Amino acid sequence: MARSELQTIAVDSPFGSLLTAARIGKQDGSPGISIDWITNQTQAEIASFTAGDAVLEKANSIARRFDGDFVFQHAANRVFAVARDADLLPALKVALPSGKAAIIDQSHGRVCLAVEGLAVEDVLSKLFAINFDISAFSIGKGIATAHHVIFALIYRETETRFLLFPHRSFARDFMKALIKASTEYGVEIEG
Amino acid sequence: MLWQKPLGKRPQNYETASFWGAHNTSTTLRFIFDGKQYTGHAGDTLASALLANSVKIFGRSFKLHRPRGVIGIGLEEPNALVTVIDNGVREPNLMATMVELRDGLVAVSQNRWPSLDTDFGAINQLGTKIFGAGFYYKTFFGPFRNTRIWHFFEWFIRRAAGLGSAGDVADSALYDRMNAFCDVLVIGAGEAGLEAASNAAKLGKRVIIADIKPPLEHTKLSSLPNVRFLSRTMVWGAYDGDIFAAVERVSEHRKAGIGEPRHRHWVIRANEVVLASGASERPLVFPGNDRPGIMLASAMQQYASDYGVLVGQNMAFFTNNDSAYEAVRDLANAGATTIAIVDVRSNISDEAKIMAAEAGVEIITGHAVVSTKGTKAITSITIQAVDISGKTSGPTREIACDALGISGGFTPLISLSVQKGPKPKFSEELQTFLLPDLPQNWQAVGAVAGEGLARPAPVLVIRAETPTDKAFIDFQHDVVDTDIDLAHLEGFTAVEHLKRYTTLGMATDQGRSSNVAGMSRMASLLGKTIAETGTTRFRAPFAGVSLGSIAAERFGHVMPDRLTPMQDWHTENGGQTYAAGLWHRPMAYLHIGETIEQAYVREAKAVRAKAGLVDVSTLGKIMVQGPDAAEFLDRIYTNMMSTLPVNKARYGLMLREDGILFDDGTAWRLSKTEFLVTTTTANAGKVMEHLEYFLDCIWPDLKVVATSVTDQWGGMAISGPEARNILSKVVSGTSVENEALPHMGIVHGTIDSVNVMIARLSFSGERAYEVYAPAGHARRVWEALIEAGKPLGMVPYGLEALGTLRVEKGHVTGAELDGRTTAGDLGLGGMLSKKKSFIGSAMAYREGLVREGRLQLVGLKSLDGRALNGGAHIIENASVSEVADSLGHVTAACYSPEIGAYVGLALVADGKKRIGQRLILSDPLRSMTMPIEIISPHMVDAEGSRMHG
Repeated sequence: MARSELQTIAVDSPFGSLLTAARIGKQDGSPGISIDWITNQTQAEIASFTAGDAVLEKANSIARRFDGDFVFQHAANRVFAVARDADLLPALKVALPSGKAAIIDQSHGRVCLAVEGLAVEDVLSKLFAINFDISAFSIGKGIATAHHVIFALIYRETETRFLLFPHRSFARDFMKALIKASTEYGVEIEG
Repeated sequence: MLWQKPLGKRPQNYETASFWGAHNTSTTLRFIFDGKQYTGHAGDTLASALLANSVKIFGRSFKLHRPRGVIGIGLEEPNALVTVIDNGVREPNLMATMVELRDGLVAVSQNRWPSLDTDFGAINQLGTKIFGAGFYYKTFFGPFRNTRIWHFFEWFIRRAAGLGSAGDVADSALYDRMNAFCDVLVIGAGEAGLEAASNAAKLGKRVIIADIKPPLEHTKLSSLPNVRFLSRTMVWGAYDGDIFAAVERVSEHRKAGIGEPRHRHWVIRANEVVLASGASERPLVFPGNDRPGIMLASAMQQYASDYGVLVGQNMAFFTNNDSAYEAVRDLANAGATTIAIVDVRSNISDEAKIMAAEAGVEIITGHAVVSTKGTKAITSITIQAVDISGKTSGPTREIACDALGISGGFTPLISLSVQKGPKPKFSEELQTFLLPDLPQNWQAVGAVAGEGLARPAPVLVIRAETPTDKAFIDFQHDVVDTDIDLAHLEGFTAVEHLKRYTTLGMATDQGRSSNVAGMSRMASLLGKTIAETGTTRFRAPFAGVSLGSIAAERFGHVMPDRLTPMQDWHTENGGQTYAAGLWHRPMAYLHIGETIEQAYVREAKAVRAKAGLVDVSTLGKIMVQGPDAAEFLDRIYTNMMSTLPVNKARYGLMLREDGILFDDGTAWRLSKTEFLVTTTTANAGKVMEHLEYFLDCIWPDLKVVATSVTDQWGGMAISGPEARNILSKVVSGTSVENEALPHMGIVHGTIDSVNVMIARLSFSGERAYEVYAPAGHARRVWEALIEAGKPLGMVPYGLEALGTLRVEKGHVTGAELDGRTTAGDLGLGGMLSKKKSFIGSAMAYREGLVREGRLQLVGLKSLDGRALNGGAHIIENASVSEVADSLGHVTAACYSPEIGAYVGLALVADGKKRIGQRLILSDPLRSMTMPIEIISPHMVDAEGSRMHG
């Protein structure tokens, strides 16, 4: 995808009416959770042909050149890189030619949901059998897991903010589950 | 001292730190029990509040309907089971000792009719002698074996059996679940548990404390960042890997907030476990030991200390250990009068003597209670001398009292430590079962480890010289000492047999109050020790758990909705969507007044005559990349893929290892080292697993990775004679003319500024193109095509029309790839390469897969104008009863506007040889037969001229 396209063509929301600014559930006090859909990202999956080789380190260093962006390893031979700059993909392809690694554009394949708030660990603990305590899931760490049959990547951005990357076709159903799990804490949807 | 005049009544203005948290009289709560309104206070349980209101009878016993009072103060309670009714929802069999009082609570007693005071079921007491162990089986199965009389009695027995009833009002409360992880799980927040938790927290460990009680205000532990205090939480199951099940009563005691569950099911994974679950006191067994007003000594003590309730004015105690003396002393301090302590021991400790003296109580050693009196509450006890075996003799003495405290020693609550298999150990000193050898990462502290427990005399069952009443061992199921004797007599001596034969230790208290006494009786009958006799295996749940918490909210379904990028467009434009696996797909786009059949026929006609656009985003899409990608696909597909030029696509088949057809699809070569593999919608996940299995396990040497990109791309197929003209109106950056984009060619261009991939592929048999756009922009591309197509007569079409077009062409889908068919069966045998081996090639030609008579793909045509039904059988004779001679079955059927008849595809034995035969379609489910003709599956444009050129 060209850089200009990333910047000019709006991505359709897969969430339908769910993505309407609203406060749901517990109304008193600050919301325990806020949910926001992050758009205009380039998401790249980099897979090396053998586990644990230098390719992943290279991918790491390339991805980190893009300010404010992140990369994390979620399988023995795979890393996931996210940037707000469409140049991420060409940069990766130059640095990692096809004989060394596979670069897969997943910018439209997964949606990015930012889930933030003091209750974020509890909410995610309802959906995933993952230890979200910061001692086990530190800032900058990411994993691949599943909620029922919905595969998702999860990345911790701050102590109280996680980015979730479920597949786009499941996004609406997953959003419903996320809102339902958050309701008891009060959830604010960013429209 | 904060209170003065008890007997069920509480004094004014007292405050205590109760079992259920801070207890004070400043908050008055109103509640209803059996239709009568009472008041209690915050921090009360239903049991303490009723006791404070001088209620003596809480329920009726299971079989004999004897009046029963509360006996305990916690989970050991076998008698005071009630049904709580909330908004019409009945939750039965709750221990009144565990129901937290709340304003407006409504509870009713159980197992009585018409009332607790006057229960017709008490007539069963007249038949006391026949209601022994095994009564039902001996009475209704034995003499009446092989008769229907059992079924006659069954109706009455089932009405009489059980305790509370669940009701049929739907429970609107929420129940949810949560996962938790910790370094240390502390089960129980008594003194020992809190100390262990505090020590672990100081070491920086992440601690979860689970405690059945409301939050403790005096502990600061819960404010520590590495401590999670789960109050009102019962850990009820221990599983492999130190995974624990627990239930938290989140809002049972108050109005739930929005989205707040009533109960929450916890799955806790712990690295270390501290068991601090405490111990419960158990009763002594003697004639008449179930009369209301008889209560565990420790319960009497705590009702006074924690709730300000004294359950009698003239108390007596019966014990085999020193703990009752502490209760007597504390109750005396609280203002109670104790007349006598009856102790089975001949010699008691000096400490006990001092405590009795402080309370001014007469001690009667070497004696036992042999009978009690009182209709609905105890009025007196009769005592007699007792020996070490529990036998009584000599003169009797009657002592008037209005409450009797009893203590038979203590039972550590070890259930969780035993659920995974290890056997508990019997302690002669403590006369109870103690913990088994614990795993290295477990430790037990406090009473559960036997610490601080009184040493009782080994006398638990009193055998009166001339018994005047029953001696209950298990109060919940009315199991008496003579039931144990009967089980022994009839050979049910193994503990597990004893349990099932007598029902000893079943039901909600799980033997907490009865097991040791029952085993003690059986041991004495066998002439063995209790240790040699053993105990039954504890299993989860440790105590009653709400079914709602087990069936708790799963936050989404195991079959979630899967939507294509064009889903909303479909529904906004008349698309009738239905579930196809997880996906939602449009069946047809209905015009006003149209039936589904009219709609799909219109759509299919439009595709053949003009053009149509269909959403194919659901097809599986897998990127196969790497230097060895072509080699890998040669091994996976039956046909050659390494010879495929870049920017060309090829139809391909995959077999299972056993030679059966697995899936079909296409491979698009995007570069020398990159292929986009498409699969059927139904098999997308299975094909991905198939590829990963071979890459990870069979050929790890290949430099290939496979990645699902199904969600990355929205797909749409534009088909029909006008397809190219429509496409050419909107595509820029590439030509789509035949020279630039021949059949099976691939080009890249843009539509409405969106980069797209276009492959010329046809499922309909018409000139057709599959257009793939990034999913977030796919609707934009779809709408551009729709707009461009309108002037040329293009329509959107759904799955029904898609199915019609493919049936007319004889193309196969999941209905034919049914896990039994081979490539040869479906007329695709020519796609099995002879030049290479591939997955399934070794087995594809085995005898069973190539024999004569196999089912083969054919077309069908209705000869009488009626519709064919999928699944119907093809037979030779016109009788619905002839399906045993079925020649095959219909896999797909539709009305073909091109043929002008109802047609279908079928798998028919030796089908190819039958083309032209007239046979019968038999549909036994619909009691229908009809004449059909076997035709070629390639019903339209068999030579394929429409899709070329």
